[in-house]
Amino acid sequence: MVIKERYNLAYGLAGLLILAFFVWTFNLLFSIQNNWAESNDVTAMDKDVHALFDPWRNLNRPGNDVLENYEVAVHKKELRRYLQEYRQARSRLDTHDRARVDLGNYYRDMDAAALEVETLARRVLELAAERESLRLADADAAMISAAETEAATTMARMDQAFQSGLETIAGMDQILDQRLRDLDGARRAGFGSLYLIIIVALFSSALSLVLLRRTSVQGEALRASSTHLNAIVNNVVDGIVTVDERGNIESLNRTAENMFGYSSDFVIGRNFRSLVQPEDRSLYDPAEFKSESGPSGRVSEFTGMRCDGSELAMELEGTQISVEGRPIIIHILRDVSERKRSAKRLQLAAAVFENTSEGIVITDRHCNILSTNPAFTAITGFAADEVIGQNPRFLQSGIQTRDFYDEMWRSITETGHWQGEIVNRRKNGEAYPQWLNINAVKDGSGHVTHYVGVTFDISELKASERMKDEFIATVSHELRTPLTSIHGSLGLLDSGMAAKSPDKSAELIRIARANSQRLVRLIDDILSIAKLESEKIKFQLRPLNLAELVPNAVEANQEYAKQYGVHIRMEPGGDDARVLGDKDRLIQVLTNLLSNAVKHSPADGVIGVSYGRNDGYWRVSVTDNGSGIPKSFRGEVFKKFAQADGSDRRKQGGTGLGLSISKAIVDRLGGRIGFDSEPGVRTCFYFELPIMQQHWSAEAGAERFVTSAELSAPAE
Amino acid sequence: MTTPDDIVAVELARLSADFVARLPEELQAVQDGVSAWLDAPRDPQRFEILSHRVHQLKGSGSTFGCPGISRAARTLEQRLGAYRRGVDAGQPPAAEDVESAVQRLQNEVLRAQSRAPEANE
Amino acid sequence: MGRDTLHRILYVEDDADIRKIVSMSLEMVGDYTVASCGSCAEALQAVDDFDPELLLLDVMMPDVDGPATLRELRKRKSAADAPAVFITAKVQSADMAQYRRLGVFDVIVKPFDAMALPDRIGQIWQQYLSGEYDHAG
Repeated sequence: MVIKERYNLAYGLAGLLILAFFVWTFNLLFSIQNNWAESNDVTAMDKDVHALFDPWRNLNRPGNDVLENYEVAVHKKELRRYLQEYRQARSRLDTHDRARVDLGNYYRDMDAAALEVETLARRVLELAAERESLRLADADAAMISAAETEAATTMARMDQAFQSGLETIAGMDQILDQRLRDLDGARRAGFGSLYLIIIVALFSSALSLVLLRRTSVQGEALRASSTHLNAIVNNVVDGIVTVDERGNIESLNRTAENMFGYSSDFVIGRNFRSLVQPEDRSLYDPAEFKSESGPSGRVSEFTGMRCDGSELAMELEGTQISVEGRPIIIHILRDVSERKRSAKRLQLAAAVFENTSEGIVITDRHCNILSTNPAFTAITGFAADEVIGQNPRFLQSGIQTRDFYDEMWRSITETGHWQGEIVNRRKNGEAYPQWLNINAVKDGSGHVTHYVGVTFDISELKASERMKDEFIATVSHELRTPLTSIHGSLGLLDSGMAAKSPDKSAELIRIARANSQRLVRLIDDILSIAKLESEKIKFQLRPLNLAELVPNAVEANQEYAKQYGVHIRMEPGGDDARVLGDKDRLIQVLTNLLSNAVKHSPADGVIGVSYGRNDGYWRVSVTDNGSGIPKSFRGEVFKKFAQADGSDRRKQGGTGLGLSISKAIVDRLGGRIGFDSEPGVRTCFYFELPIMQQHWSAEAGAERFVTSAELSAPAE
Repeated sequence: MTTPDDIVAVELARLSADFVARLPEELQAVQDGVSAWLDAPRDPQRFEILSHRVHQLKGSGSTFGCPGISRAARTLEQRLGAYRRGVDAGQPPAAEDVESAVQRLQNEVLRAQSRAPEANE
Repeated sequence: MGRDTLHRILYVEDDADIRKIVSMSLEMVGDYTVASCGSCAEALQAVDDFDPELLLLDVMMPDVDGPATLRELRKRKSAADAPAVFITAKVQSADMAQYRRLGVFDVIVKPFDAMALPDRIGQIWQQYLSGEYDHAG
């Protein structure tokens, strides 16, 4: 500390001296400059004035002839006048000179006067020039003589005046010279003092330097080490803040300044708490860091507050030390927000890893499994601990060829990734298709460190693809079969082979016709279902009364039923069963249910048809006493081409699409379709449609429904 | 003891039920109107009547607690307008747009039907 | 093993109409003797007595399909060696391989010309006789 003060003193002294030196010098230079200018002006002006009178001097030469004298006299007359004026001007000048002490004014007025003189003198010269050109040949002799006399006397007087004028000028000259000499003296004096100042300044600087050197010899080592220390302190990654016992900040290193966004001088003296978020302030206690032996090693986490109020996640390690008897607490602060963010990102990644429905396998670069996620276990049946350390080839199903795997490996080693469909095998032996995406993970230098495989179970996708394929195959088969019959029978008829036998011919014709009809029905149904599923069918919704619709449908199908020896019985129901629907489509549904029932009824069977309310719906039920629907088939009933007993299709001309069409229609009308079945006893198929609300208005004369609120309201 | 609020609620409920009950008829009229108009799209009168009806449906739909109906009616109104503009410009657009809007309205009416509370007998 | 001319064909097809037409065609045009059966069960009932020389089977049948029916028939001595022909609406190379493994000699695609069928059968029979066929047994 003492050293520091000495430094300060020396610097101060030198500074002051230098400052004084500069001020004085500047001042002096300024005045010197002015004086320089002035003296230059004076000299110049002096020269000018002298120059002005040169022509006069020339004019006053003895021995000129009369004419010349005359001219001269005239000139001199003029000149007298001008001299008078000049004298006046001069006297004015003198007045000015006496009146003004200030050098600046003196010269300024002199300047003005000299200008006047100049003007007048010029005029003299002009006149002189004019007069020269005058030819006085015509001049009167008398005038000349008179003029001569006049001229002679005036001449004498002029001379006198001229002389005195010259003397005045000379006097002025003297004054000017004196002035110049004064200036020179001042200049020299100025220079003298300038030199003095410089010497003094140099001396005091030298003195200071000597002082400094003496102290710096002592502090050389210390300074070097403190620079070293400063360099360290300011360049560590962590913030270092020192505080006193009470927590007031004594110093901040550069990192700490950057962390908080303050510069040290702003913060020094304030309490450390001001760098902590308000809610954490109570956690900070400088007394915590007292410890007798070395750093406490205690690390606490708190949220710091930057200069803009934003949060800064920090780790704080504090140590109390003693410096020159005073306790000082050193805080080492580490910004952990990045670490926290990374931790959060890792958490997120881990959550994704755990919860995604895609199976993930991570291997090292030798393809040994390091980790698998729960989805992997769910898909393959292998638990993580069963497979860690192994090569994933135990999943291979044997369905893909050697070439397939070679190609996969080649792609991975060359491009770092591969994706495609693969069939693997679960733990239970089941082969399943999946979509596999393999990526190589590389480090900074481009070397592979891990492989990551992500799998999507596509068995369902495959299943629906397969169903579609099957459907198409089935449809095409269904269409080709009757075509074969038609084609075949017509071919046989055409060949004349059956000509001999009318029975056979009739049979062939029947076959052709029946199959044509079957084909037409099939095509109709396929188109229906396609249109219904793509919602392209236009429905005409109208209020319909099931009480009329259902009995009509029963009537219409009675003949058909009779062919199978079955009777349809219409159970009585209410008169009013209104629904909103499309009449044709509903009839289609009823017909479908009825014909199914007929086909499944035993001979002499009875089919019961009824309708009734169920919740907010009207339900229409068709019950038969047939073989029922086997449990295994229950889920498939409404699917396309699904038939529990395949013989139906061929024998009874069904298309296999009826129920799926009916379902599509009922769904579209906002209703539900379903069945109950007791195998071997009975089957009941039903569909339901929402009850249509009745018309409210009294004007239409329709029924008026009274709400409970109305009943309790006071009568009007 | 019925408060004024109760009375208003009853009235509103009655009007809403009335609205829902009239929907099938309205729908029928709209369906018929659309078919008739698509047959003669240059007939201004047919368009006016149809458009007016659909417009009313749009308004009363949201008033009586059937926003779905209102939305479907709005779509239909837009499609009818677009179709007419196309016809006037000499380029009638696909009728599917109008028809699918009608379908949507049908669905909404059906939905309203199944949601509506039953009237007590 | 085989005789020069083919006489007896066991035909299994569930669709009655097609069955009728094919039988008619084979019998009237081809002059063969045809035992037509509507299902695997019927075929198993008839096969021993009928002692067929050629088996003609529809592939897509409900319950027991063509290939399954063939497997059953192959268990009977009377049908163990007879060449088999499938009738099917779809043919894919994968299926063909499978059929060959079952000892199916050829496949007829639906729809087929009923008039041409007898000739086709004749051709197949000739090929069989000339030993191109190698029944795996």
